[in-house]
Amino acid sequence: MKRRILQMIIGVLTFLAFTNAASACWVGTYQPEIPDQLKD
Amino acid sequence: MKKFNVDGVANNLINYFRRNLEIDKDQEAILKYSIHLVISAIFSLGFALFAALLLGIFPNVLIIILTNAILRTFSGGAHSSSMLGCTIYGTVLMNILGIITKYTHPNKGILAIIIFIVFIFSILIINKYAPADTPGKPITTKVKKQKLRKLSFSALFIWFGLCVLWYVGAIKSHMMIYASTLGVLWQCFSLTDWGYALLNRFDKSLHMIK
Repeated sequence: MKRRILQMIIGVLTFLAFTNAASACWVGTYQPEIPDQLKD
Repeated sequence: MKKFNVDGVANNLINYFRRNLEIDKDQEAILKYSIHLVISAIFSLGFALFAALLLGIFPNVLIIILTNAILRTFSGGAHSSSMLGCTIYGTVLMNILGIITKYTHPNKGILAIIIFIVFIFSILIINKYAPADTPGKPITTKVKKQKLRKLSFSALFIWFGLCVLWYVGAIKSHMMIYASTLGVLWQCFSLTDWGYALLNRFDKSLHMIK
């Protein structure tokens, strides 16, 4: 059960990172540096 | 008192994931990035909304933030160099705009004129500057730039469509439309050179205080 929840959290975080990579910037006024793995 | 360290929190969380699941280096980098995004959103949105709650302008600020954030996702704009700067800047600014919407009450005709002026201003600014990237996340491909510009225009036209619905009487909330207008206006201002200069000046002042 714990593994499933962690997998779900990782899935959500990964989705968030990819959607952010596709957008112009993050919603707040701070944009962390995008990792090489997500660069165009 | 122990200083809050975002990198430390991200590393602890990733270590916890690693102890329970198999994740490689690439996944780690992506997760670390998204943890930074989540923490920055919690701080900037959380503080802005908490201050709005204390000031009694929560719905106004919520609408301003939502409008601003949706347009910002596609059009980009000026960013602070630190999470602290972002939190303070966002909290102060969004609440100032919220206070304006609470204490000024333009009638329907005046608000319609304001909306029209903001709409024309936004078209010009988006056409000239969007998508405005940041050093932390440069937009390098032409295809992506064109796509984001189109999405920025789409978001702007959807907002304007909602304003038209309000004008013909289909939407009743005067405050919601007024707050969203200020959200769009501020977002478009943040795309301009003046918007970048204002945030840079704020960042420098914050560094001097620190």
